[in-house]
Amino acid sequence: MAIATVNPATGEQVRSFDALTDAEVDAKLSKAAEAFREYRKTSYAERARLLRRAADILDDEAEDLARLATLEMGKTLASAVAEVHKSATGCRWYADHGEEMLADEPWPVKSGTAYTH
Amino acid sequence: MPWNFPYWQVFRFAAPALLAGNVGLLKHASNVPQVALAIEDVLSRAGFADGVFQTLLIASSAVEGIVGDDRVRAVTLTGSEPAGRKVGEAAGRNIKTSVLELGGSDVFIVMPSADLDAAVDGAVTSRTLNNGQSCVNAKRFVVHEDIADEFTRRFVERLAGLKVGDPMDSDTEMGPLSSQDALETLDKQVHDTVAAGATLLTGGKPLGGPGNFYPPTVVTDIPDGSPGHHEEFFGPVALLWRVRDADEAIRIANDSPFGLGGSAWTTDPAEQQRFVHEVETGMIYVNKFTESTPEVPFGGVKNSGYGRELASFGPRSFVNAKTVWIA
Repeated sequence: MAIATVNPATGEQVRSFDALTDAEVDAKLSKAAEAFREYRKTSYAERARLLRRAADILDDEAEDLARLATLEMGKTLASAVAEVHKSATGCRWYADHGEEMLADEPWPVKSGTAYTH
Repeated sequence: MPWNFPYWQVFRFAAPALLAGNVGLLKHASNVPQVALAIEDVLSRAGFADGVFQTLLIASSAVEGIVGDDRVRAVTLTGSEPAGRKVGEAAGRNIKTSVLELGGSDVFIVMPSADLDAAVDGAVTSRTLNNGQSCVNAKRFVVHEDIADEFTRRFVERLAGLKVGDPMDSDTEMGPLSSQDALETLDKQVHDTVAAGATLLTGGKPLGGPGNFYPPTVVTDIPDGSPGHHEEFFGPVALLWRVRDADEAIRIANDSPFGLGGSAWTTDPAEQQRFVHEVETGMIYVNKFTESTPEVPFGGVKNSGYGRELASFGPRSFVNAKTVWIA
C-alpha cells in the first residue's frame, strides 16, 4: 500500500510520501542506537518531565492534531480530539506512576541481597 | 502501529517505553503518515533528544529486515492477525522480545437480570465506537432468549437511527470506514454471511457515493462456517445470537479463533463469576464494555496475540529484568 493520506470521506488523495531508502533507514537505526547510549542514563524524573511536556503539547494542540487523524482515517472529529487528550493522559500517567512500577523487586535469599533490577 | 487509534496506539506504547529508558522507532500504518510525523514532532518539541523517537515512513515489506537488525532489540505490533504472524515470525527467528495485540471478535453477553437500558446503550456504543473499527469493539452479541426480542428491537432501532456522514461535522455520529479496501472487505463478509443463510435486520449495503460509508448493520441466524461465525468484522456490523442459558452463551463466546476482550451484562453474582472464569479471553468486563485505559493491562489470548500492554506491563515489557545477588 502506498504511503499516502487519502480522505476516506471523499476518496480523494490529499498527499503522498516516498518511502525512506534503505540508506535512510540505516541512518535512522544508527541514530536510535546512538541516542539510546545517552538516553538510558537519564533519570526517571527527567523522562517524566519530558512526558509531561509532551502531554501539554498534545492538550494544547488537540484540535489540529485531531483534524489530521479525521482527515486520514475518518473517525469523528470529537472522537479524535478525545483520543489526543487520552494520549496526553497516558503520558502523564506514566510520568506519575512509571518509576514505582520499575522499582527493584527483592527476593528472599538466605544470605546477601538479591533483587530484580 | 494501526491507523484506527493513530495517536493512542502509539502513545500507549511510547509513554511507558520512554519512561523506562528505551528509544523507539515507529512504523505506522501507511494511511496515517501525517499523524506519524506529527507524533515524532510532538515528542521532539517536548525535548526528547534527537533519535530517541523516530518515525520511519516505510513499506510493511521493510519491517522484517529492521526486526532482524542487531540494533533493534524488541518489537511490538498492534494490528491485524496476518501482520502479527509476520512480525512474530521475524522476532522469533531473531530471538527478540515481541508483544502482539491483534484482532478480536469480542463477545457481548446479555442475560435476563441485566439493566437493559444500560446494556442497549453499551451495545450501541461498543459496536460503533471509532466507526466500528476497534479491536475491542463488541462484535458478537449473545442475548438470552427471555430478553432477546426486546433487546434486538431497541438495539436495531438505535443503530439504524445513527447519523452517518462527514466526520468533520459536529453532529455526525459515525464516519466512513478507513479505506476503500476496508469497505470492500466488510461488504463481502456481510454478503457471504447472508448468502449462507443469515438474516439481515438492518443495513447490509455500502451507502454509495464518494467515500467509504457503510451503515450500521445487524445480522442474525448466522450459519456455522460462514464469515460471521469465525471472522473479525472490522466495521459497524453486529453479529447476533439468541441463546437458552449461560452454558450456551459461554459455548458461543469461546467458539472463536480470537480471545481479546469481552463483556457480560448480568446482575446475578453467580453468573458473573461463571463468565469471569469461563470466557476464554485476555479481558472480561462485567456490566461495562471493554476499553483501553492506562490503569489496567490490555491484551488477549489465542489468535488475538500475546503479552500485555499498559499498567505495569507497559514499562516492564521491554526492559531487562536483571537478577542481582550481592553476597
